[in-house]
Amino acid sequence: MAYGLVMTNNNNQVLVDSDVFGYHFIGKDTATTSWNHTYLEDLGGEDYWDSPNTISSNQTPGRVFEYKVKLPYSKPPMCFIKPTNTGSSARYCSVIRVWKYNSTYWKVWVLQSSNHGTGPTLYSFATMDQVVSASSDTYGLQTLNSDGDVTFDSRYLPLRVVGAASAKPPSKPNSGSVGSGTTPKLNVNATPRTYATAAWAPMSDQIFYCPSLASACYEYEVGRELSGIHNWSSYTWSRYDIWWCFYRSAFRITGTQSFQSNWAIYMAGHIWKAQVAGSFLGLGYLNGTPVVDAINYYPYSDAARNQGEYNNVVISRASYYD
Amino acid sequence: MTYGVRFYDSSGSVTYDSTSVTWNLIGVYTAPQNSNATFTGLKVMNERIVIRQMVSDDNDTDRAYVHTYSLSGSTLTATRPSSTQTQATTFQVFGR
Repeated sequence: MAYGLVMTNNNNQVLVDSDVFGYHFIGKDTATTSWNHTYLEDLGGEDYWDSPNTISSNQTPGRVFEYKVKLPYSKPPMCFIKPTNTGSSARYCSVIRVWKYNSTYWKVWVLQSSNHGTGPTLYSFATMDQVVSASSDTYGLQTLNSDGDVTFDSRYLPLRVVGAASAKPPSKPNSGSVGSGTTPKLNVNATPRTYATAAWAPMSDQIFYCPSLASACYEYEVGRELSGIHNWSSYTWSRYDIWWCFYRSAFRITGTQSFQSNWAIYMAGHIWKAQVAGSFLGLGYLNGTPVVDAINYYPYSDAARNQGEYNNVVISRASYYD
Repeated sequence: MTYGVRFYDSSGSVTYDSTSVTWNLIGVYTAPQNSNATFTGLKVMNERIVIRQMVSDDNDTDRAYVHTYSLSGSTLTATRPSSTQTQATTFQVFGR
């Protein structure tokens, strides 16, 4: 660096460097809409068994909240989550999808475990070359790089990080049996992973940034069959059910200096098909091979993806920007 | 605070102080869907971290693999785990 400004602390960590763009606060947003994602379908056939035809309480999906973040540039916003609660019983949440919606806005989806109706608040940041609003404040410090671009401006509330960690979810959302009889057991029962963040802020004031990378999908299938005589003819009744859950990794703040990673259910589904056949039709083709084209209903089965990938989490304080 | 620097706005509120150990953005890099990518010229700082985010508006995000990466010197290398199911991945590289 031939000229410019570099400011370091007593640990020789760079706080401000006029060569690099710092992140600055651009606003906070609440959700514009939300939904609980379930899928039910009766694939037809004549039922001998007429239940269960619902989403089970053992496959409880979370709620997806959608946000619109004003940022008319190509770099995605850095969206911190201010969770609705904290602690060892808190809901998990994470950013699960981000995309440029139009020339003015980005859309962001946040998944929150459980179907609680109130979603987190997003605190969004962008680099100085993407900050939209203009400040009229005449006090502060501004740095420029060699191209004359503003890289730091104290008037725009620079990002102040108070903690960081590196996190990944448990290897899978559930352990043990995924169901018995006509009862699936697909709710998350994994033990969360706990990480130290070294954050020095009250839990209720912490906001975190850690996009979800991992997904998982597990299913439970059961087939039933019964043979009998009706009107002097032999009949065979059968029914095949598939329950599934699709999961994403999610996080929560559990202490002033601790953070947990686990899974949350993004989508829950149940499909079924019944059949009654004449005496000489067997059931074999129903067993072992699902009667539905499962790929149309969930992306893959009985596996997880990216679950071994660590992502870094950074923590700041909401009160810096309220 | 016995040493360091603190910035105020005109109303006297602190907008930044050097006890807030922050991370600065070195750069944002996007590896395309289903492709490997190499990015050069990254600033070398005392500490660096990388945060990944899959960027997409379709359901492929839900089933996709994320790029793995290595960061060495001024080079960030992004590797696709799958040639058909790796989502476009944005890398935000921070340093301090």
